[in-house]
Amino acid sequence: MADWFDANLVSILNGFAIGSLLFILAVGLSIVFGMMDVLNLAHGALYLVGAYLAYSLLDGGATWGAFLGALGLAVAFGLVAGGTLSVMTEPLAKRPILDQALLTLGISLIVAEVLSIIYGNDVYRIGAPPGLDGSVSVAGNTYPLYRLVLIGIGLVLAVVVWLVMERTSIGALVRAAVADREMVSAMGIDNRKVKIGVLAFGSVLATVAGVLGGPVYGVRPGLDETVLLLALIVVVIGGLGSIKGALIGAMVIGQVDSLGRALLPELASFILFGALALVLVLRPQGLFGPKKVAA
Amino acid sequence: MLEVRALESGYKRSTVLQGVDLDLLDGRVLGLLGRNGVGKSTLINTLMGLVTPSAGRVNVDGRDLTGRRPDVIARAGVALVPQGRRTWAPLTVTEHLDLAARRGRGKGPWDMDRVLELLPRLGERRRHTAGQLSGGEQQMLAIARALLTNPRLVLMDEPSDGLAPSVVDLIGVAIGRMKAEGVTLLVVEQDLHLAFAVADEIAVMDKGRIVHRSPTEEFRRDSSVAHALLGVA
Amino acid sequence: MALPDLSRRQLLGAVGVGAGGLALSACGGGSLGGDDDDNGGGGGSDGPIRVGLVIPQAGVYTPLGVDMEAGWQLWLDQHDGQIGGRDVETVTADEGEGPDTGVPAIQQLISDVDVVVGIVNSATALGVAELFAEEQKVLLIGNAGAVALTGDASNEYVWRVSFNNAQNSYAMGEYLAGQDIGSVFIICPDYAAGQENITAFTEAFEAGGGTIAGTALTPFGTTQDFQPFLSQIQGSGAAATFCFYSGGEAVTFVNQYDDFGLKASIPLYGSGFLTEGSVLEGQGPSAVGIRTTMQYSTELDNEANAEFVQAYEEANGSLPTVFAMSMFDAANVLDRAVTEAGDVSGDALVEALGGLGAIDDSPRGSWEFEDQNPKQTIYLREVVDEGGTLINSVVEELGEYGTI
Repeated sequence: MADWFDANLVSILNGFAIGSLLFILAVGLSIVFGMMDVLNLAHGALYLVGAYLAYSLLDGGATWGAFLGALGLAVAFGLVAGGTLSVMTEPLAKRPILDQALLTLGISLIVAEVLSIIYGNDVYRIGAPPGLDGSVSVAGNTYPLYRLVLIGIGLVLAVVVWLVMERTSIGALVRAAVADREMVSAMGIDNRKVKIGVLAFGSVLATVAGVLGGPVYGVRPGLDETVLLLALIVVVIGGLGSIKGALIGAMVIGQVDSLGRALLPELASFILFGALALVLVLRPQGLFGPKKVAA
Repeated sequence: MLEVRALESGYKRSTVLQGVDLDLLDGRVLGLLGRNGVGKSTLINTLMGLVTPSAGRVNVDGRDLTGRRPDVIARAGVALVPQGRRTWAPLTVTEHLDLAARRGRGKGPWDMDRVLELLPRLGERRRHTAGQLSGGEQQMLAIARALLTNPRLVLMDEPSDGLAPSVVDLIGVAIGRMKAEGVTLLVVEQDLHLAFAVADEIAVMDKGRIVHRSPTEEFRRDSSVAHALLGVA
Repeated sequence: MALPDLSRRQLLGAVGVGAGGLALSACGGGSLGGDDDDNGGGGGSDGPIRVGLVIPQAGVYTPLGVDMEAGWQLWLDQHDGQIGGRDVETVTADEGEGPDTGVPAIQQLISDVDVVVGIVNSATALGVAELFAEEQKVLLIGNAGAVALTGDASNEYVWRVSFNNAQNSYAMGEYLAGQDIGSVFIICPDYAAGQENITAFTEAFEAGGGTIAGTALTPFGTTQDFQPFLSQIQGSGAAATFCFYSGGEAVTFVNQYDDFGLKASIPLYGSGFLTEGSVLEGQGPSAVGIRTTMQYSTELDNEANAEFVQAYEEANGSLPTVFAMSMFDAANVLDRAVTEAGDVSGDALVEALGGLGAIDDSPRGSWEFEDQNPKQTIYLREVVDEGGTLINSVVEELGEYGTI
């Protein structure tokens, strides 16, 4: 047992690193979807913008100034994007979810095309900032230090988000909206403002995830679709509107992707979708999803 | 303070309210009765803005609130204690009350102390989530939530539904206290005893319209009316 | 990540084709970009030649398509737009991302042209090979490396001016065995081209006395994180790694190989596509020192190449790649064949191609057809940083390789 553990420790660690990144990406999507029934398919495009921002700033050399600058720009862009998306989806609020999904999908396609025109079709690498760009020894293997740091960042963010949601009045408001947003409205609270706030928050997380994920995945066209699909799987498995669900779901998918692929490479895709199918069959609302859908 | 004229409203294909006319004076309690399906809940929901009317007018304190969003209507001084309570299961009692208290601060006499004095059970269950409360406690929480916003008008939809008689009594007491503090109430009820106990007047709905209205005493005495409109002895 | 590769381009493409189709039909317009002819291509001996240029214009391999078109066009520009003394009308068709789009595109194209050149995707090429025999028209493959195209699935009309998947890897296998390098871990994507590469490498390497420390086949096109495989390599005790990756996967693999600290401890070798063209930019310093085998490098020291590189850079603002060079040669070869045959009919060209002998003015050095595939010198290259630009510097010539 210990031997097996040793041999696969790196893969397990990697699963947590990928999981951390996925959590940052998925938690915003989950809350927005759970709270407002807004399926924001532009979420992946936001990740892509973050990644290209990181590429632009770090292409000349990966410095801390450039990295932090990229993070700052990502936050700013995320805020603006979230607000814009909120405004754009508002007229469709009373229409079926599919309409909003299509709108955000369209925005996603356009954003991806524009990025493709600006940056071309090549795959680019993004370096980790100095001090984090080396590798460390783990159970006899070497593993990139940056990915270990990602695990830390993901955990810190999970704690921060959890604290905000569970211990502040704004968090209580969002949780109430997830549970029953009509009653929140009946309390005299304008749900549109809550929606803007949550979409902005989720979008910031997505764009930041793009920057943080740069040294792991680089940047390329098509990355937006890849991460969006993964984020959706995490949200479905974890349950709508649940932070705990997003965290656990992300870790599960991270492990399936890493450990699963290390042990059973040919079956990797099947394991991923198998896990999804299993959850949908046994517990369709997700591991920590709402007991019933809000009216 | 509430004026409703020719209100029509419904869902997708069916029009449930066929032209409701209703007046309610300040500080009065109106009990609204009727068989299932006549439109009582639809009226409540339309007044609260959860359903958009297709025709007619709703005025509160002289202000036209027809077709406005629920939060606009709420800020105009209307509060809802809905059918099924609809408390927020993952939130604690304290979180419910804090959320409501923020809206109502300084707008009237109801604050945390006063509401907890009215409904002390909630004070004992502060840290529990709404999902952990009994039906009666949830109802009390829903009432407290509405009250803390210091509303001018409270809409209650079948508050006694599914509750033990002792709890129903408590609700009656709570409504009495609200009335004493000058709150106007529109209470939909199936429980005639509760309705008769709290209401100044009784209105009856049938087929999407108000078809009868009289002071409670009068209504009680003349059982034939009740029999005809509600199908009860 | 192990995911199906969604193509937003296909979605946009579908919409675009729909709209474009409507627009074209409104203009009463023609087929694929060439102007309408009275006789969709003919065997006449001095009329213009219509050449179908099949390249990817959508999807991951678009950059290759751009290079191929540039190489083809450069040769034409240097020869007044003529091949064999006749004007050339190039009709470009998009092979898209695979046979689903490629095969129909070529089926539509073939009746409109005299000869077809290009094709990146091997599956597409295999899918249309028989068609050329039926239509009795020549196909000059500009890239697609499947061994079968000039092997088991060959017919007399299908010729190749690029390479087959075995050549580079076989050469590397012989070289590393000769170096007494120790045990080697081999890794590549799990599809035909990858498998053909490592089969050839293994054959040559083991025949030369080498041992394989382990093998890994990575899910093709969907692997974003190679960690599980990199851990496998570390655990295998290998002295070196041999791989085949191209395009985006080459960038990701080389970068992560470095990120995980393997570059320093387990030297990386590969088939030349690992470090060819624009992927070098994406790899940056992680590529420096990697040795690969290929039939071409911009650094080859011969006159034809010096001229080719200079002319290409002037015309396109960047260094040429093997893809551009192959199409440059395709034009050259077609020119020789048409001149020899005096005719563009399939049979005449086939006979002429068979008798061509050495193509001695090619930028890759002199080569000739063997079994309708190039028998050519394979070079050992190493990535070096030359004043800020990464290039594949030529280390040595490994000998001529034809049909393996």
